[in-house]
Amino acid sequence: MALSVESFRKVFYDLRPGKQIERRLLLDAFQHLITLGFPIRSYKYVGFGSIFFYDFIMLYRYLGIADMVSLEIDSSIEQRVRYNKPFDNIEVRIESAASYIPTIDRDRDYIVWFDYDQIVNSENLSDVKGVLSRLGPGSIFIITVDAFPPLEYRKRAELRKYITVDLRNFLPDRYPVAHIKTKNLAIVSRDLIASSIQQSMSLRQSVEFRPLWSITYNDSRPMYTFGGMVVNREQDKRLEACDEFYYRKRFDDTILEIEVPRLTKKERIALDHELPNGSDPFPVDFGIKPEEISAYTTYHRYFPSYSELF
Amino acid sequence: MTETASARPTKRFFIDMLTADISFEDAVLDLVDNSVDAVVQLSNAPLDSRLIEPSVPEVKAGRIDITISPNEVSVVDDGVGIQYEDAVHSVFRLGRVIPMKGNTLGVYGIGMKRALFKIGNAFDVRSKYDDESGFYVSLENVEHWAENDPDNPEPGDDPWALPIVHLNEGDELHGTAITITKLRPEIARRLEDPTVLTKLRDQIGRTYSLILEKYVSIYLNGALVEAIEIPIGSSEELQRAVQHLEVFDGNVKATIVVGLVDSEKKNQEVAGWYVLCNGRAVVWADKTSMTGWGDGLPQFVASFRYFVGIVFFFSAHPQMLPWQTTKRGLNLDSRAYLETKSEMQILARPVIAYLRSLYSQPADETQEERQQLESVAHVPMSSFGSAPSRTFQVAPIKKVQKDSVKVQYSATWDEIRRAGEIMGEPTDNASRVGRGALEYVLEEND
Repeated sequence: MALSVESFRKVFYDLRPGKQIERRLLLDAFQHLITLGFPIRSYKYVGFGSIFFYDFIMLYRYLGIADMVSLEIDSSIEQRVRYNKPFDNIEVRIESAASYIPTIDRDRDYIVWFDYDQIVNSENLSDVKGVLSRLGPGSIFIITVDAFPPLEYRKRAELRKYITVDLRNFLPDRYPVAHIKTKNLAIVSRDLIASSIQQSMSLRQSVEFRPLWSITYNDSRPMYTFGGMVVNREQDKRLEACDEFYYRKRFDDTILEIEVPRLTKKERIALDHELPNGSDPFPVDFGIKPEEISAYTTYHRYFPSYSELF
Repeated sequence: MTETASARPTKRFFIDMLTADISFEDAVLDLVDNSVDAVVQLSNAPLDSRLIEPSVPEVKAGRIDITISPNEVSVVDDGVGIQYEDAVHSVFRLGRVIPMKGNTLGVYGIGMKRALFKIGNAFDVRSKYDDESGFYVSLENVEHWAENDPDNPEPGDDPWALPIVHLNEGDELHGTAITITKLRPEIARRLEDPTVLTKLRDQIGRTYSLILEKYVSIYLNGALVEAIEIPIGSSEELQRAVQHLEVFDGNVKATIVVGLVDSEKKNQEVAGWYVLCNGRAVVWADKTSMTGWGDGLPQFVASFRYFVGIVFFFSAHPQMLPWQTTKRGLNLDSRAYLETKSEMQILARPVIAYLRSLYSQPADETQEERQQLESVAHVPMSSFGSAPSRTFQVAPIKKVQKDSVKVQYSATWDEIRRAGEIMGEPTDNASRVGRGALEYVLEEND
């Protein structure tokens, strides 16, 4: 039997600092949304917990979200998924996003996070369209895709053919082909996701989709995350207060690039002492580059720390 | 005096009902059809069977500009233009006074009006034929115009009339510009989907694929629309079938071509029938009973995915061509189509037989999966109304690791004979050699 190529086998989940910063940013944003009157605690969370359930653990521990569903498409790891489920209130369902979408209740508030480990494809973009035909106002949708092409699309011509022919139904008119290249795959993904969302929203009345996040990070390979909220007019007005540096409230806003400086524990403690009010030049100097200090300054609240336990 | 019952049409019928049969995209294409006719008429380019011959007449290509935004839709051409007299007497009538003559795309005299009503609540049509003859007609509020529809109009009062202004400026320009504003809300909303125009662009590229580049350049929001060709192919070994017919008492020419999908396009779901009338595609990759699948031909199934059939109809009497008023789909009862349909099927059957022979193997579902499929039993319709909402459910099948597996691979006869000799069993029995080779390896390593 061939080995599964699910991402948990490709990379060590626990050592993905970029991903972890992203999770913490989103957690921070959810807390922010609570202060704006969105009852996030009573939302239903739908995600791909795999065998690690990091997002589930964070949302349950820090926000108290209790109604949770983890979708797993690979039935061969069902036993491991169920074994690793950290809390009893997580419902594990061995099914694809496509087959779960029809069960989404229009009157319930959701956070749906489809965290794929493939690049944009007609399947996951159809999932986007499906979810956004269903989610009611106040619900949050987040999608993560791989932003580095697989081997068969590594050549520019192949990638262009894939995007303009295979994904044509999701492509905005007059999309600049010259723009499609490996290093822009995050932007191209954003544009395809945006147009899929707009396709669904253009068929709905009195609700819009308000983008909130557009993030890339690179733990050995670039990933791209896009998210936002289905809103009615009143909710959209409330979201005007979202002014943290990580918000991206238009579909075509520049993408937030999470940078992770490699720092020792000692260096971090030294920097933390001066933050958040670090001045320029930074009062401590142990030979790290100014851009590393600046990246750390931006993300220090969300920075994970890892250590080996014996 | 005989009493009469009124059969006078209502404006509402034209504004609400006729527009229900047509999509936004088809409405735009209706306007483009008129522009193509105008461009072709100016350059004397023929929309006839020369379109599918190597020697297409070279003409100066005209230009059509389509501009679409959630606020406005406009179609502008540099074609021959409409004469003031024609505008006053016939162009704005709903339906034709005299049948069209000549190889045109316009047939019924309904397209432009229907498109105007379909898309917006205000429009402006301007055209210029020559120095003396130009006009504009503009309506600021279609709804308002529709309300003026009395049962018994005063003598001399025509509630259907539109205000027209005669233009006679002395410049050289000619052509027609149609601008529609105050878009209907459902259309403005759809236009927020950025892929609507991607699809419209493809639809234009397909619909006019024979005409684009040769006779006319079409621009959508400033970007040239590229022709999308019908993906038929041919090779030395697999040659397409061709048949030329004259139908409808010789008034309509038909050319049928049947063959296989161009191998570069083979994974793009392009199989099926294509039908073109005077060079304009009205049916694209059809797999339904409209073109005979399941009605003369077998039901279209996956193994026919390389089938391509094309019918080109040409006529100087466009009303004899088998198109519907929406030009999307066939008039199944038209004589031209009825007389061609059996020939289409005769030509298609050898291709279908060939494709069937390629894919004759049974599906590769497991026995458990087949049993599960066969468990599906009839459900009475009366059970649906009160059934609770639910999604499609599949009970998981326990995947049992079978203790044997079938091995199959290709080898040359030479290899089979040599392998047989090595195993000390010279034979032409390939399956014995195959089985023997496995045992040989296992024994050697035991």
